[in-house]
Order: sequence, then C-alpha cells, then structure tokens
Amino acid sequence: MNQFYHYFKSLPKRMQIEAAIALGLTILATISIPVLAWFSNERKLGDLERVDTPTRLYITAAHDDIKYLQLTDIKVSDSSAEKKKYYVFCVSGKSASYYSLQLAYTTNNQFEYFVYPAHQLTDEELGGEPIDESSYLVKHTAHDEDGEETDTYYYKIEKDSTINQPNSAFSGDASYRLWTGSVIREDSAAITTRFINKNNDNDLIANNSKHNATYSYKRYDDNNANADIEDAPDKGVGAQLYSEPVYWQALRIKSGMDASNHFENYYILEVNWEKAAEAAGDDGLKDDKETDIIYIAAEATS
Amino acid sequence: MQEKQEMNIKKLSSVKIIVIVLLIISVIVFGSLSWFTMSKEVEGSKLSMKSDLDSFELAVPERTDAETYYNAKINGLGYLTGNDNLSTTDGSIRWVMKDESTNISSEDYKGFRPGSYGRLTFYILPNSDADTSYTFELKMTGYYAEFVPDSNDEQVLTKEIKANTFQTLSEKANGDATSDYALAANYLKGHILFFQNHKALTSEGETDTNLYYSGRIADTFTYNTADHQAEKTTWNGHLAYEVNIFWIWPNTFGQIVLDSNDDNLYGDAMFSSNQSGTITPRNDLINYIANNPGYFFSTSDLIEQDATSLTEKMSKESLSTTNSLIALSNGYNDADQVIGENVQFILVELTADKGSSTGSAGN
Repeated sequence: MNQFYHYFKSLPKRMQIEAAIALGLTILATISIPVLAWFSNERKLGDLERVDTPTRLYITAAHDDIKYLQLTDIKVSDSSAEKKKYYVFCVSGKSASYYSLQLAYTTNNQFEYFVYPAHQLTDEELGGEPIDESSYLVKHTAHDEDGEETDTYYYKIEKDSTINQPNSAFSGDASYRLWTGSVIREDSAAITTRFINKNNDNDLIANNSKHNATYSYKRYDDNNANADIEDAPDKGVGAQLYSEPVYWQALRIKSGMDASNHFENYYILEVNWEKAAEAAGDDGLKDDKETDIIYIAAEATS
Repeated sequence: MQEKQEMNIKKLSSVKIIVIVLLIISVIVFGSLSWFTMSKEVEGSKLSMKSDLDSFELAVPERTDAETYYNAKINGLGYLTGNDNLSTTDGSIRWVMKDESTNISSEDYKGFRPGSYGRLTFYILPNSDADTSYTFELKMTGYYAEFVPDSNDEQVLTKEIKANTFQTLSEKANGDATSDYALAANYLKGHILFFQNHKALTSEGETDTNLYYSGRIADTFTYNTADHQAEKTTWNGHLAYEVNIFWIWPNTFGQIVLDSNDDNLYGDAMFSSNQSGTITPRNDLINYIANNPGYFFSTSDLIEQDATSLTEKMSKESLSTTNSLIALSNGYNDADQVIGENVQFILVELTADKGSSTGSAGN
C-alpha cells in the first residue's frame, strides 16, 4: 500500500488527478454494471391491436323519417288493378361493411312480401318535367321537420346498371328479388336469402319452429296448428296461427361504403296478393279490416 | 504576479478538490444503491459481468400468420416479432391479445369493440425452481392513427397507417383535458378491464356453471410461484409457469352490476353475488367506478357525483327499485362511442420483474 502511496505522490499533479479520475471511473463502472444488469433483469411483452370503429345503421323511408314509410292504399277488392304495391325504404349508416336484412310479418292478410334492391333515378335518367310514369316504379315525397312535403324521389328496381351485372341464367323482374340466387351489388356474389320458419317456400304462413323465440306464451294448439279457436276453448290464451310471424332473412349484404365509410342502400318492398286472389277464386278478395305487423330489421355483421 | 499565481494555484487545487469530491460522492451513491438492490447471485469477474441463476425469461404463445398485423409498428415500439416467441436479454417481444368473443369470420373482423374479451397468456421461464416472487405491471395506451385510403375497404386490419399520424391519445390531445382524445384515454382505463381469474364458483353444491371474473389488476400484481404450482408446466422443454390474464371490454354496464339471472341483463354477467371475499370482485369494481366515474361515464351528471351516492346508485336495491341502470348504461354507452371514434389502436404492455412489489425496479 505504502509503495502505491509514494508512487502516487511522486507523480506530477496532473497525472495524479488523471489517475484519481481513472480509478474513480473504474470503481463506478465496476459497481454500476452489476447494478444495471440487475435493473435490466426485467422482461417486457407488448401487443398492438386495432380498435374497431363504431357502426351506425339506420332504417328510414327514402330521404325521410321512418314514420313516413306507410304501407297504405292496399285495396285488395279491386280485381282489375295490379295485385301488388311497392314502397321504398332505405338502409344507411357508417362503418358497416356487411349487414343482414330481416323481414318479420304476421299473416292475417295472405300477402307475400318481396324485397328488391332499388336504384334512385338521377335527374338525367328522369328527363325533364313532366316525368314519364313508365320510367319509375315507385316514388316517395320527403317531408321536412314540420311535416311539409319537400322533394320527390323516384325509384326503380336496380338492374342492368354497371354495378349490378345480373347472372344471365335469370330473366325477368323476379330474378332481381332478394331471393335465393339473386345477384346484388358490387362483387356479384349472391347473398343468401331464406325463410327460416316456413315448411315450404311456397306456403304463405309460418310454422311453429320459432314460436318460443317470438312469444313468451304457448302457441294456441301445439297438436293442431290449423284448429279454429272455438274448437278448444280450454287450451287457454295462446298465439293464434296467423300471428306467428314469418321470418325472412337476407344475409351478408355488402353495403358499399364510400371513401368516408358512409353508405345508403335503397330497397323496394313489394306487397303482393296474387296468390291470395287465386285462392279466393271467383269470389275475389274482400277489403276485410285485417291488420298485420311487418318488421324490417337490419343488423351489421362486420 | 506572485499573488496571481497563488490565486491560480488555489483555484486549481479547489477545482481538483471539487472534482475528486464529486467522484467520491457518485461512487458512494452508486455503491449504496447497489448494496441495497444487490442480488447476491450476481457475480462480476474481471472483464465480463453476468447475472446468472437469478434470471428468467418470458415466452408467449405462437402468433398465427393471420395475426401479424402491424408488425412494423410494434417493432418500432420496441417489441420484436419473429423471435421464437421467447424474450431474450436484448429484446422485448410481441404478445398475443386475441379477441375470443367474435364469431364473425376473420376476414370480417375489424378490431376490438364493446363485447370483446379474451385472455393474455405468457410463460415465465425461471432458471431455477426455487419459490420466487415476480411483479407484473400492466399498462395500456391508446393510439390515434389515420389510414391511407385504398380501394379495398374490407381488409381493415391490414390498412396502411398514414405517415406521421400514429400518436398516443395524450399527444393528440395536446394538453387539452376536455378534448375527445383525452376523454377517450380516460375511458379506456375503465372500459377495458384486466383480471387474474375467470372461473366458476367453487363452493360445495354450487349449480351455477358460469365463469366469473375476480382478481382485478389495477396496475401491478404479484405472482408467487409457490401459489401457482398447478400452472407449472414446460415450454419447449424448459421449466415454465403459465400465467393468464383475462381481459374484457364489457358491452353493457349491466354486465358489471347485475346477476346472471337478472331480466335487465344483456350479455354475460361478469360477477356473481355468490363470489367470496372480504370485498367481492363486483364491489371492488364498484368502488373503483365510484371513485373514478370519469373513466366509465361520459355524462356530466354521473361524473360530478360523489363516490357515496354513485355507490348507492349501483347497489342492488337501487338497481331493482329505480331506473338508475338506465342513466348508468347511457353514460357508459356514450363513452364507448367516444372510444370507438377516437381510438384506433391500443398497446398493452407487460413488464415483469423479480421480487415483490416493494422492491422492484423499472417503471
């Protein structure tokens, strides 16, 4: 030790300082490396994941509040007129790439309901005033907040447009229904459509397979779906045959969002009583005051 | 001249003294730091320093090819990918946080949303089998980003991030505590929750087979290998402990406060009134909500309430006799909307240290 001390003292001042600094730094390094090694004996995991953008989905009348979607003016007794009527509704929203559409309707009236993709006619397609009635299938006049009528919009079934190339195997208007095998919108992929509670696609009424999902009380007569209510009064209150809603779905419809993720799809709902008129035969149909409920629902699936 | 020289010499020697004193102080400081935090097994030999028996590694489950979204971004944040799923002394690795809720096909999947839940799994690979304590810290950060528009609007998860738009929510908020970004950052803290357990009730004769959450992770939690011998396994032949963290973004507020048989419940109940504990898991979360309403609700009515009255609103009696659930749900759902509109990514980070929480180092 003494030797080092004398050696140290014999060095010029400058070298003494340098030696001291070097020694200090060495000690620092010696101590700090194990400390740092200890500090860094920690491990980290991390993951970056995407957060989805909220979807907005709306069902409205064409450019109008849903309350103006009124299925009115159905006069089944007029046997000379066409046995169908058309109405327009709109599914719109944001950030939904695909959605499913569902109709649920009761069958007090023996109607059939069909949905078609609709095309809103542009001013060029309409030509000038007066508007040629054969150029459109159905029109809707929008309203403002006070209920005053504003603009009228014209629609026809979407076909032969560049974005909807029909499959050449189909022909006629019926092929453009949102029906199994029909073609809709951009990528020409057929969407799946189906009735989920009919025994047969041609039946007009529902079976009871979805009764428990729809109603919390019993179906009227589990053994005899066609029994009249007078026949079994002791069965208690139950859902009557024609209040069993028919469920129809069109799955995975592509919404076709624009650059800012908005979309607006128009549909024509056809209410058709041709089959009912056929079944009534020569008597024809009567304007009985039967009431039906029809629900239109849409659900974003992605 | 003589005086000046003397002055110079004095100056020089005082400088020398100061330098040496500073050196000595720093040596003492580092020495005492290392004394207090010394890990006995660390050895320093002449030229190389290494810590040996005391260390551990982390491993993560395999990430499938489909889950390589934004690898470049996560690499930029310091987490390696393609690293054999094993952390090394050089790097931190990418974890797997997968949404187990979704039953939509992977091509339609667009990211986390209310109702998403899953588990985060990792393995501790200790180098010795002695009973040890680890402290895990879990941190979540929200990010904003814009995407390069392209013609393929469907492949949302592979959209390219626009340059210079990837920022944390706090950077984007830029000091404005009322901006939607700052609010969204707060809502994330309440809406995405992490738990240590997701399991069924265990009492005798219990018929409820639902799984419930417990052991909410606030920031850190301690893991003692002695208590988890059931999760002892091997990973690629190495001794390992499997740790699962269960995360959930509840879809509705009712899932937090209602029992599974409640008519007003939409979704799966997170907790059961029959869970045990001095503080039940639900009450622990209610307590957290009452003290941090700004993390859960966006409506000022609820945020401004004091903890006692909020706790009372979330009590069983209040929920069944008044309409308090409606206001709570609306506030919660509106906050979900703010998150969805302002947050594009979340980064979840786990830091693992040996030792129990009082002695851990690192952030």
